[in-house]
Amino acid sequence: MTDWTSPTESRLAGTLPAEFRGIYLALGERENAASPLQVHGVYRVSQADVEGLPLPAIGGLVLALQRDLEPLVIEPFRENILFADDERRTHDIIDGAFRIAVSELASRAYARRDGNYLVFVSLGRHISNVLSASVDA
Amino acid sequence: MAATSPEALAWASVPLQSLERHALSPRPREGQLGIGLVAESPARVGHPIRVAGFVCFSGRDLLLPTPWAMLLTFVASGPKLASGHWHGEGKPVVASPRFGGKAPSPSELTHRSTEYFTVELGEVLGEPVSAGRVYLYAFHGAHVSNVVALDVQEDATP
Repeated sequence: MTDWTSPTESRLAGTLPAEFRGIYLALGERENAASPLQVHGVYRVSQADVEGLPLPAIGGLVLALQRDLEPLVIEPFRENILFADDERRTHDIIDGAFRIAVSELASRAYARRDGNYLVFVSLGRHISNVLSASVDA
Repeated sequence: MAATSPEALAWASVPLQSLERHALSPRPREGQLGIGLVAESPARVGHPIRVAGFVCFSGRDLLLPTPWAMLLTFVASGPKLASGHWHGEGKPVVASPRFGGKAPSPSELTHRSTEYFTVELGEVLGEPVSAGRVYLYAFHGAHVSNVVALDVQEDATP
């Protein structure tokens, strides 16, 4: 699910100021309200911010999803095959980008896909912005 | 609905290490809306790990079908991910605007109510906390607490 070449992610990364530390999420483009939900994210954290998490740090990224307030908490990348260059490391700074197919994950947990969704992620000490979106049946 | 406010992030930087310093237990700052957590330190495997906090919401923030209850989802991210729910003490906060038996009054919608709580982390998560660095937080709807970095040590007691 990590895709460095995604134009959306590149645009996101380009918006981060140099001093930014944390995670930022954006909703993927959708044709209509019945289209699947995807989120794109970028992160830039220090080593100390993710101390104790597995490497690459994205393996410890947590997705917190609520569909009509029914929560689901998972690590979407923990079981993925990750490679050392999935993240960029420069001195003390770790940065990367990711894409999560929220609807695909939600379909495994919820009986219905339609509803009001709240989505955020965490990585070590950092919490992202919270996104909200509605999905029609 | 707002994400974690700058005030909440600032609050998170307050170094509170021990619940024994009860006078310094988390308190919402003036005007702050959301959730604040602090965890007992040091934390050891096999021993209760107390977490204290506050929930400061108005009626507009209560989004649950239970009119009088609060629900927080706790997340402990670290060597192993664990999460669990806490249903609060059932104390009346305000009537839920969505599902309450009666329509809330305008004052209930806007009145801020603060509840303080203490939970045992292993009980909330439904499993013992593993040794290592744990990043702990709680959320309800779009409100996310500060993140507590907790170092859980192996129990050295023979």
